[in-house]
Amino acid sequence: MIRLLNILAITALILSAGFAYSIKYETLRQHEEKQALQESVRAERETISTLNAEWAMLNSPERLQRLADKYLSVQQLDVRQLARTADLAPRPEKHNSLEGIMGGPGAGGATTPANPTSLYDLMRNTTTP
Amino acid sequence: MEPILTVPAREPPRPRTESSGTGDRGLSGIIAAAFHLHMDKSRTRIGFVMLAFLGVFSAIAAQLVNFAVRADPVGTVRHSASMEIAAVRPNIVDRNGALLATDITVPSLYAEPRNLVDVDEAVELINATFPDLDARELYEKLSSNKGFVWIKREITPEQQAQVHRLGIPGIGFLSEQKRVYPNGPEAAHVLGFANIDNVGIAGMEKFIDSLGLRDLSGAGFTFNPADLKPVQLSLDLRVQHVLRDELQKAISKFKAKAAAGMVYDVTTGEVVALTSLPDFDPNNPVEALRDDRINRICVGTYEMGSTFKALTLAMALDSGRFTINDTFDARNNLQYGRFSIGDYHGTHRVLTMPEVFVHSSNIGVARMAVGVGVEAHKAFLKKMGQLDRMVTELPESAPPQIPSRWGELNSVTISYGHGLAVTPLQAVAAVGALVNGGRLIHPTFLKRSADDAAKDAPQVISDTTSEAMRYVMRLNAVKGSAARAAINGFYVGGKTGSAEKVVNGKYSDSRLFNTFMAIAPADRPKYLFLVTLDEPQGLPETHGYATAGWTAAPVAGAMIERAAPLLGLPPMFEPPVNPFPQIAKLKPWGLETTGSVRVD
Repeated sequence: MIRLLNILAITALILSAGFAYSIKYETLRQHEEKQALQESVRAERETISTLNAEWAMLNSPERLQRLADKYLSVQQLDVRQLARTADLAPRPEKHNSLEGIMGGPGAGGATTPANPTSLYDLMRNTTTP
Repeated sequence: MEPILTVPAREPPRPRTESSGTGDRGLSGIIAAAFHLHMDKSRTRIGFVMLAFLGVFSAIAAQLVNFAVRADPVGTVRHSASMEIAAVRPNIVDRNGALLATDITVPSLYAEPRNLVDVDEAVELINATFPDLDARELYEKLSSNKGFVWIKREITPEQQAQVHRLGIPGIGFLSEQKRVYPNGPEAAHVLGFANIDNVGIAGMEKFIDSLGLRDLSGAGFTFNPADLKPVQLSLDLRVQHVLRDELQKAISKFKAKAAAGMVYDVTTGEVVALTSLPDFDPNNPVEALRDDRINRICVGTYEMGSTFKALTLAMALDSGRFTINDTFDARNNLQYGRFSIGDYHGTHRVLTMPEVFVHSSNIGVARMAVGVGVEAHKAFLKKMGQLDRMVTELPESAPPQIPSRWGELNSVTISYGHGLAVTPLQAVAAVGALVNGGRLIHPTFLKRSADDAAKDAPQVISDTTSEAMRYVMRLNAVKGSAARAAINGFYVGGKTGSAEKVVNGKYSDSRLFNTFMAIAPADRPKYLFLVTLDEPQGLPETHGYATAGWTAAPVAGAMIERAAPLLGLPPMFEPPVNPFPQIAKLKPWGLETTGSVRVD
């Protein structure tokens, strides 16, 4: 009886020791993995910050201006080049059919509508003598 | 004799008997039997084993104590060195998030002289890779008995690979944080710089250290660069570049000794751009400490000249003693003892208050200062922050130069900007308060909202006076000296100043310090632009004139034209409707001209 208990106890001891060791080695392995990951994250962060610095350097206004002066033929924006949408020419009227554009049904030739409302009307006015 | 203590005679050992199966002697009997224990013989054996274990364990303990007390000295030195270089700094970004300063990681080469085998060979090999290192100095460093010495900080990855290939024992690399400024000299005076140990030396870099980060890392806390929040400045990198570019052009065009400029948000007190030329490259700040590289906006004190007349006018109006329709006799020079105060653009007639401003009449503003009185003049300038050192986030600042005895003559000269030297930043903050509705906002280099700025912004002049100042500044852009800065489409107002510099104790009429302050849009100012030029020379196209109207004003005009789209200032296609409602009721001189957007 006692021997059986002893055997059981020793078996339990060996099993628990084995379990404890397996946990320990698993922990060590995961710790190493974590350190490797942290190291690679750090390396990535360093790379990112270096690339960010390089990006900022390449995009510095001074450099962009130098390159633009050398390779582009664009001019500096003039205030007179700006306009408001309200100042644009009016939008052409929507015509439902071709007839509408051509000047109405049964029209023998190019007739000017009585009151020109669209850009097309105005254009026709200027092109017909 | 009977013994007191009788020791019973030892029982003779029991004869060994087979105990199996009997079970009457219990567990101890089983153990004794299993290990053949004989108490008399085993006693010495156990003592021997105990002694052996004691010896082994005390040896281990002694070694542990040894490790704990006498730690590896080389490792410690290297550890502290790596602690020092681990001083990471937060990124600095502009108001739109563009990177202005950041840390990158670079390798540095060090040696542990105690572990070096052959110093001569090491010196020879290292010198082959770094020809710029002094061999003698290196030899002395490496033959010392130190645990740790730097050989070269901040080397390139290629150099690192080369040295690595040499395979010298006792030499290694540490990763260091190096501060880089991707935009070079742009905004150098605001950013300042950090030294090789990443300690802030000047500008915002020093300010950041004063926030407590330095103390924390000194106390052993290390930071991950990713944990640090970037410091967001009020600067706009694009506007900053425009300002610097225009000022550089101005320096070469007018052959000026120096130039400085600023873009200031009058509603929030934010400095949107600040340039002082000549400047330096914070990546290589060897020139930063030279005398001519000072931050002229924050550290230089100047007699601001006629731009100060804006303050005098505001004082006169706000005191209630004068109205905008009052007239001032400018027919003859003012006599003060042996001093005679005259006008640069002499009109020799009686001027209204707006005319005094537009013609920049010294006589007119002098009469205002005299009318208000010396004490009230002093109190007003004190209220406007002109008599105290202006302290901002930047560690660099300078106190104004105030006359030791302030009599009426001092008041008269100060009324047109001579005799009191202030920093341009100080003057800008005051003029900002004159036009923003009368609230004196403390300038800042950090991003701030208008609401936060309003919390600590005392009302220094009335809203009506502020409107009058906007009116006269707009008038000056239409009819006066600021016309060359008035870009069509932007409702600009402004005031020029051409102060004569003191040379050998006398005012020199050939050496000028020119300032120009512009506001845009003049009916509801958002930005104040400052341009200063130190000793510009007249050109044929300026008819030889070197005054601010011919030099600083066009520079400011060009700058505003380029910067306005970046600042989100919309061009106006029609003049604002009734831009100065309170002033218009008084029908001052020149009212009809301020209604137009165009300046022709």
